[in-house]
Amino acid sequence: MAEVRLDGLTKVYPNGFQAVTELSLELTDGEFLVLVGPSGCGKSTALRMIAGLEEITEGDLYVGDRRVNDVAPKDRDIAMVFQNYALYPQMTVEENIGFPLRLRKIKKAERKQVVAAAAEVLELTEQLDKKPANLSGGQRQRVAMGRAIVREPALFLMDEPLSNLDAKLRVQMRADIAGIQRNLGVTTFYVTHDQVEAMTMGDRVAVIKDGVLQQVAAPEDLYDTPDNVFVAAFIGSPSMNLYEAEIVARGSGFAVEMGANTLALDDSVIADRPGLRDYVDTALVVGIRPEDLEDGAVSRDHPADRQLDATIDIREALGAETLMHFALEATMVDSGDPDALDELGEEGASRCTGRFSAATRARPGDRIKVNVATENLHFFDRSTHLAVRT
Amino acid sequence: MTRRTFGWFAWPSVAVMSVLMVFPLVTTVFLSMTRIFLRDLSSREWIGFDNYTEILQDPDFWSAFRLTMLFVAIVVPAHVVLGFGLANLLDRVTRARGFYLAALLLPFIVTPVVSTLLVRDLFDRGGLLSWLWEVVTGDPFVIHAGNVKWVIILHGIWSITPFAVITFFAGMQTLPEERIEAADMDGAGFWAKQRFVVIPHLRSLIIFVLLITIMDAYRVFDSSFVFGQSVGKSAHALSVYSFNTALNAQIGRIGKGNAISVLMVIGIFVVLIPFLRKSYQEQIADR
Ligand SMILES: Nc1ncnc2c1ncn2[C@@H]1O[C@H](COP(=O)(O)OP(=O)(O)O)[C@@H](O)[C@H]1O
Ligand SMILES: [Mg+2]
Repeated sequence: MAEVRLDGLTKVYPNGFQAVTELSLELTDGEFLVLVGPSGCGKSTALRMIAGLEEITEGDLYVGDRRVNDVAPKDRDIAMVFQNYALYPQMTVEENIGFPLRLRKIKKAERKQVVAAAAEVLELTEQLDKKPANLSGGQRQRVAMGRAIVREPALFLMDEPLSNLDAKLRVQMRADIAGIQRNLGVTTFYVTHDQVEAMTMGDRVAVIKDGVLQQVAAPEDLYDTPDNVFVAAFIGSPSMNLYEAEIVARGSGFAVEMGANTLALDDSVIADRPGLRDYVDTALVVGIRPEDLEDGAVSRDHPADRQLDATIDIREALGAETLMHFALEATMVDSGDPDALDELGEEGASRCTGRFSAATRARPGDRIKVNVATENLHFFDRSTHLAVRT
Repeated sequence: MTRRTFGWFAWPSVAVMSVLMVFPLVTTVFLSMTRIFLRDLSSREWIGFDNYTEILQDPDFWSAFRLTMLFVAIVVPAHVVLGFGLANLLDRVTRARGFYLAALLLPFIVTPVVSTLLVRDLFDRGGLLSWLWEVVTGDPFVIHAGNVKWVIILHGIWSITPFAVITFFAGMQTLPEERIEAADMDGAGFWAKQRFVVIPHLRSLIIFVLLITIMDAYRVFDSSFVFGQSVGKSAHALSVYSFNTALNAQIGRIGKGNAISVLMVIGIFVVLIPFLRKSYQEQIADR
């Protein structure tokens, strides 16, 4: 077990495509770091460079104190769990898990012991004599993990290991993998496109877009203080609502104007972020988390100058809460998340999603007032898309 | 499926098989127990097993038998190993693959007699290989009764290897890259990857190639026949021995020739049965 350091890793594929640009990250001993980003943003490429399956074009990779750029994959002391498990079909579970040990010329008796211990942790003891073809998806996944953990590597790599499982099993395995990782205390670098996985599993989460690292932080910090529009939109489900807006002076205080809507701001909002004064009468981007919206009919004592006028479009009752999609007269902002684009809905219409209490009675077509917790708004520069926090 | 519907589905092929296989086989067995000559097919005499006892005492039969067995025993394993190696190389080539593939396939495409003549010319006095041999050893290479079997075997390997190459190469294309990479990460070197990943993946294809080429090598004819023209009986494999006995214009002993064929069929069964049994058992076990 060891610290792992990525120092400006860059990958340019032979066809000239630059998949990863100057990726720098540090994993502390025993940490579970999740790299998350939309499909095709270079996550697998980054992982494969660390594994040694893909040559590093530029930058340095350290495992412990050792620079391993030019070390063969098998000598890097790194183990990897592949997306499709990549088990050896002709071998039993026991042989699969013990395979790395066998290649290291470890005696059969000792091998058996280590494999048995791993199988115990992974709840595979009953399956040891089976072939992979006779296992369920979740079991195969665990065999792949077993094969990686018996080596006691310095670093554990996982590339979307849950993407082939059904939704229910995925939730289960999410917890299992995180639990096993914590038990073993092995430094882990985990790649996924699923931000829920990232948030629930990672000690820290690194968000990447188009091969460029956007932000690394603990899940809560990522959620509360996203560095830029992309991270703000990508983390959290449903996504943050993002609109073009302007800050205007209003009486003694300030307000934010989004299209036809004006929302009064607490003095504290400006006090906490004095930088916002520079944006007065200047276009910027405002972000509203769905949970900061509420049906005005449910919570009645909300100030009237902090409400939006909305027409309900779609209602999704989830039981504990109700997701409400409504049209808003404001201009939406493209966050750069390719998956979010199709949420824009029909052209011209600006959609907004609110996470309302289940008590809401609003129905599609209703014209309602929507309360906004303006003290929780997020502000971003319009041209750089960077957060305005100070 | 009930037995009845199975019967309906099966009968056309059973009928075709009967006409194409059972009928000739029965005829062959029948003829093998008669004395009948090519020049006069109307006179036929039932002689029981006389043809068989005669064959088993014929030194020419045993010489042909030894050559055939040697041929199978060397050509089959050698071409599988060679084919695997070449398929590996081909798999590694990224540029102009089609060219190499075509070049490798050439011996397989050429008509066997032509390819034999080609090889004979190479080894003949004045041929390229014969000349090379002379450069290295000082004496010209001459095909004679003593060394002809090695030339036949070399030709056999050369002409059948492409079959293994394309079969294995095709199989390698279906091996998931991830599995190789997993083996890389697990610490497997080149040989370990071949042993634990590539060969197991190609297993059923290897068995298939073995089955086909054992049968094919067992029937070796063209090269044995062509070289037999120049060096005589020592180049004769079983099929040439049978052919010469039955269809040679001077002797034309059809009865004896058929008896040789029957013995050959029995022989191939003896060789293949353990094989078929093993692969059958595995298929059952895999289910
Ligand atoms: N061998 C390659 N040659 C050229 N481009 C590649 C190669 N492998 C991946 N890419 C490209 O690099 C980008 C990142 O790929 P990848 O790392 O697999 O993304 P992710 O894992 O985040 O989905 C993609 O646009 C992909 O098309
Ligand atoms: Mg990927």
